[in-house]
Amino acid sequence: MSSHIDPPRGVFTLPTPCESSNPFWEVIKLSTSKHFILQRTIASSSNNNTILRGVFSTIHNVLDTNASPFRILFQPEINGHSMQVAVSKSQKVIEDAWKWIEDNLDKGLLKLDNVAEKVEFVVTKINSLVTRQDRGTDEVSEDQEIRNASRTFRQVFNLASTERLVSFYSCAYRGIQQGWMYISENYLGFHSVILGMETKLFIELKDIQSLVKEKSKRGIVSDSIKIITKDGNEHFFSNLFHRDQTYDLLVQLTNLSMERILKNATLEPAPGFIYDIENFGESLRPNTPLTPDPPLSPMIPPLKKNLEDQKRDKEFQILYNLPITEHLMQECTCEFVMPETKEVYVGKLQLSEGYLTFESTDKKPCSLVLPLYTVQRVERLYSKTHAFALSISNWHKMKLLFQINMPKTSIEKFCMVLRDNLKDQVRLMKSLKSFLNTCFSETLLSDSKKEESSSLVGLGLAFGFPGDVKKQRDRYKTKLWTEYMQSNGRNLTLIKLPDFQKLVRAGLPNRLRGEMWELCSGAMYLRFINEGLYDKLHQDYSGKSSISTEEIEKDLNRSLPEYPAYQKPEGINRLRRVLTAYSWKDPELGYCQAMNIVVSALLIYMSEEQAFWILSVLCDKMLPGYYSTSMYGAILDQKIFDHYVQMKMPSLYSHFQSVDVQLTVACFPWFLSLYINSMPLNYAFRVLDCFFMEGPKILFQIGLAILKVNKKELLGITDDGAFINVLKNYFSTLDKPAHPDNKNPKIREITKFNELMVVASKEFESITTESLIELRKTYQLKVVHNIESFTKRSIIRNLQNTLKFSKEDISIIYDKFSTAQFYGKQKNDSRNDSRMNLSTFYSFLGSIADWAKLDDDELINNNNDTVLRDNQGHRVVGYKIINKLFEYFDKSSSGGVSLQDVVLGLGEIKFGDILSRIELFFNLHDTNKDGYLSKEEILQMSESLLFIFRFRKDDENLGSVSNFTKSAFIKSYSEKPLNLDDSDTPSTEDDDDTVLSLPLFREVTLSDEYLENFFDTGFAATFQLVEPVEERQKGLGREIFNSLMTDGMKFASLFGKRTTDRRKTHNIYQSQSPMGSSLDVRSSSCLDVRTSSSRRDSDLWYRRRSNSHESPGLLVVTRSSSPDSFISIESGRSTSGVRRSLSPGSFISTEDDDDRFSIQEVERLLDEFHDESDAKSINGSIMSNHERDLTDDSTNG
Amino acid sequence: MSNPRQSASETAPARNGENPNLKPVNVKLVLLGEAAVGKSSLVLRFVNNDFQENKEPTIGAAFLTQKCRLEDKVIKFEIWDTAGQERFHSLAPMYYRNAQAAVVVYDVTKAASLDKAKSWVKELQRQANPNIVIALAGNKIDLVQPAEESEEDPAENGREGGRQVPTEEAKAYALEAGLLFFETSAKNGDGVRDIFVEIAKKIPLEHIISRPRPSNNINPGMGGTAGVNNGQNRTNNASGCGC
Repeated sequence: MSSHIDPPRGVFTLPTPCESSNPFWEVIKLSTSKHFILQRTIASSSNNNTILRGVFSTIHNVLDTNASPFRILFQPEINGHSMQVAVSKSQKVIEDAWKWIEDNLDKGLLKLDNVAEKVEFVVTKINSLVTRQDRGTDEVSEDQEIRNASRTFRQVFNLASTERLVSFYSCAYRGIQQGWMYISENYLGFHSVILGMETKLFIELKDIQSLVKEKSKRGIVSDSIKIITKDGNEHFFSNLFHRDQTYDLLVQLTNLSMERILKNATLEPAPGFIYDIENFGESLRPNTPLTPDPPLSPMIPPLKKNLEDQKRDKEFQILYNLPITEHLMQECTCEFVMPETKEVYVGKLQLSEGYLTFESTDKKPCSLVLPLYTVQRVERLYSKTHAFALSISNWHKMKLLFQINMPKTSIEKFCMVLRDNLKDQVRLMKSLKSFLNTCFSETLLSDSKKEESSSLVGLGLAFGFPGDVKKQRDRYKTKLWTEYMQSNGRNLTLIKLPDFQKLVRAGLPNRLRGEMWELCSGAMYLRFINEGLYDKLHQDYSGKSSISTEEIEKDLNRSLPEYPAYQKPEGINRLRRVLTAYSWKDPELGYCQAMNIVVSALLIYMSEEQAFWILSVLCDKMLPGYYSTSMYGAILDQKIFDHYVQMKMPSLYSHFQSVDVQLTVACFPWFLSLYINSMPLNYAFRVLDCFFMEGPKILFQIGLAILKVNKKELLGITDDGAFINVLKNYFSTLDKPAHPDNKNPKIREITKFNELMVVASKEFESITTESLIELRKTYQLKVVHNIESFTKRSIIRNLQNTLKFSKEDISIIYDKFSTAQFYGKQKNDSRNDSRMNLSTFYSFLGSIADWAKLDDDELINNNNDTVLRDNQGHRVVGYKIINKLFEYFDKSSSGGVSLQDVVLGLGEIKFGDILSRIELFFNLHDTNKDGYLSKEEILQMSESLLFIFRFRKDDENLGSVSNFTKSAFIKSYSEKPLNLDDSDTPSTEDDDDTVLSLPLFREVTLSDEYLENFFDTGFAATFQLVEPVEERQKGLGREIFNSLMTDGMKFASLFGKRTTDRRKTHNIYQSQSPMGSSLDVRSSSCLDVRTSSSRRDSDLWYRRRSNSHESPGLLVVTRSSSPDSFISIESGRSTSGVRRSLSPGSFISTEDDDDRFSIQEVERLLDEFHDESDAKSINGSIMSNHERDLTDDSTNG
Repeated sequence: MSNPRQSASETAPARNGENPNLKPVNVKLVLLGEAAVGKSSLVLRFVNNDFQENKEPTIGAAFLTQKCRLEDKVIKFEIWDTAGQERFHSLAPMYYRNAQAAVVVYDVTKAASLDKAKSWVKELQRQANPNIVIALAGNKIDLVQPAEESEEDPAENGREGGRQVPTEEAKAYALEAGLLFFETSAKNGDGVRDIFVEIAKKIPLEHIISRPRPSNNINPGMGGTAGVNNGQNRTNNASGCGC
């Protein structure tokens, strides 16, 4: 008979070839067709020999990362090759898989005779199963090693299957324990088993505060990494063969989590979101269209490759200032021949979707970015000296020649990709003409001087440019630029040679400044590909307001007030438009003071749209996090500036330390407003010229130079005030001669500003973009954790009501809350909300109360809407009760609970009295809020109680709950007449005619000691705010030693024993116990409660069996009072299909507890109940049945 | 309370050089409060007896100093005027560390600004110098004063509702939290000086004087007074505290 039961999840693997007769594995059983083999590791076998187990698991662990003790193999030919199709840590789970295989595959196999057909049948079946079940997880990773290691990792650390392993490395922890380091998206795990000593270390990447490369072996070998976590613990890993690779990977991943933490750690909701709720969520990010779900592909590349690609693309984008949509597709070395001079440069040619880039690698610097939409013609030339040559002409007929020496196939591939990409860019070419109209360089180079529309140029044209135009020799500079552009291309097609840098450093001519800033920063490419977006933002959001728009209004009148345009509507309106448009584009950033200053400066030289895109490059790339709500970027760069000062000017640094002056008090505004409101405007713009060309390192170089130039005076200051004063004086005299007393008139002409620029570039040359990026990575973790703990402090301080919770309790609640938020956010990537949604609440509650821990797989695979509808969820009851708690916590019914809600909710449970908790439970289950519990609600209550009790080891809870159900039903009868009055109205939809009121409910619960206890203290105690001490090591050396003594004797007879064991186990699996009494109950689904008692443990578990075809209804209550006696009631239309193992036993009621219910009574009650509710298909019924614990090797005597 | 407009210009400026025996006591004071409640304007009124309609927003913080004579002592306020926007919040500890006094400002026409002020007070009481003297100032009372005055300068922010924070409510809170309390107008100068006078009175000066403080020996022309208003401080216009 083919089973319709769904296959168990997380067991099956893609069929992977493996060795079937491995000495570490023993066969438990064979399937009927002999094609499937169930095996387990010898290390896990149940005989109690610790030594052997220790030795085997050590070998196993050291050699192999696979730690699953059970697996199922498929053997197409008897004694032929095998394929692993399922693995598991739990015997129970592997049994389920085994059963599914027997039912679904094994019988099918018998009908096939051809080996190839058999293989195909099994492989397709299993493949489709795995890819369907495990979409997007490592189970379908292309990399077989990752697949296996990931499974082990998840099993060892008990993680959800969606957690993806990035890489794993062999290493030693604390220098002694050799094992494996697993790095996944969110966690770092270390696992080793050495002679029975198991070491498990689990670190959440988000808690890592510092990563340091270290040397081990007394500082000789650079093979170690030290990790410091938030709680101050240090972890030392050595013997890392790929240390730098591991380090880089960790840096990359921790930085990703930092970004998420930052999103989390905000005191306020995203400031740029619109006030009116109706349009919430729509068109919020116009530039990122929703990507449809990727097509269901059976295999996915390992995550590590994704991350490597990401990293490489990012470097590529940074190097050429390209949009983040560009990916490096092809690259080759080539020789580039300059169009006019015919000078040859050797370098690297790289191709992305929309751009062809070249950067010289020899001594002569040359770099060019050629957007493919400017390409008009590509010719393939055959040269004698080179294998291949490409001649590319752009729209203004400049011919670029690239000579490539590469194998033919590679060249063919390169050309193909280039051709395809060119085709894709054709659509953009039509916007080229109108775009070029906005570039001043075109006006400059064209013969006919046409007038530009004034809205497309900066305010400077009408209101004047800061500084003395004559002194700036603007006209002369313009001439030099014209010449440069005539031979080296213009705007989008400009080639950067050393002269380019010189010209920029000399100060850009006013009219060209905007365009050059745009080109240097890469904002020009963004403006081109996002044509019309700026106007669209204004259309979409016209008339809308947000926190940001309010903040912007406050500052409009106070941005560069000394510049005439900003005292007039013309200038102010432009400023408003750019700032508000940006706050809509990036609502999470919104608006930060200082942006007004930067934008008002930009607008002097360029149009609104140009300024908008430069602002966008500033916020996203050049100064990431500067203007974000946490300002972490600005704080981070201050730390780095501090670091540089300490390195470069140690005497000054220690002076500042000794007089307790913080650099940041003066330097913070320099960075945040790019020196614009510190220096006179004309000088600030000179700094900006360099800044846009060379990147953020300029800010540091200038800052260091300022301190250096003023070092003498600064060494004399003793407080913040004097510090600021020295700098103010300096800035106000930048135009004065640096050496007024020098005899040489040429030297007397040098201004302080000239001197500053020279000092900045010459003395601080060593501050490079690369070193800056490195330092940002190094300090980021720390800065972000500081911000996080700052946020924590202020959020906690601002809680309105903390009830009787201690500071520590609140701190723990906060940590759990934000952890749940952290992991919740990434999944649904919802907007920045400080409140938890339902699915986050599940994991939050699970982290403080054991009973609320739900099967993670279920939780993640079903998003919360479908959970309730999903019949496959084994934990439906759990969801129900937690959903109810969520509604209870969410006092304002807003669909989310804030930290305050959680504190109040938990507080009411913890600090309330027994009566309030009883009332709480009553209210939770009174779904229709009529003040009465209906029959169904009573049953749900019982289910909830059983759910909460499911980890309890005692047996009384079952009885108590059954007793409760019984008494509740009896009591509710007595209320029947009362209710009849109500139900005279025909509209009563819930046709329950029996209800239970709160006082009666109270009476019922209080009459049972167990429940009374539960409501008095037990329930509140289930919420554990104290972190349980983690058990890191189990099985100590001593134990091994002891067992050596005791087990030594038995060692010899080991193998004999093993065979008997095997036989025994085999028997157990096939044993079917006689049935107990049964009772027919119909319901759509059933809940199954089992107590199993063996000599060592009695664990209770229950599950909801979802498949109603199979078991139309079961309602069984079982209780075991001694290892050998138990009751079981089972019911169902098809008794044969469901009953698995039932043993004879005596009913408790008749045996030992007369005050408890009698089974007949329950039968009667339930019969009555289900007669009534037959048509309604009531969900809640209870089944409990006793099953032999399969791991217990003694068959019941 | 005397009319500040007169007293500010009438009282003799306290200058460092005037009386060599009066060595000024430095008091570090920090201004906190929501954005655009008028922190910078209060300082400008106090330091320069001036009011600017369009004051550039404070980035990070601004630093100003003002001297003030109290009986036989001269107090030099070192004023850190902080940025009000919420995102600058995490920088605030840098400015209020070691501060002996704080002025927490709210806007009487904006109820939410008092909530923010309360949270600043809470933060100061927990995180700052334990002896810190905190004053609560409700600014912009010119906007809620009798009609003829406010009509002259129609409130451009268009807060038609007028006063949102009743004096009594704020006063009661200040009393409960142990703060000095004032209502002020940086625009016409009401109550501004009183804040600083009362703070000066309440600060345990002896404690501060006894603290060793390195003297400024560079550039005596600056004499330790610093800030944007440095130049004006030394001119005849400079206003001292008439106390």
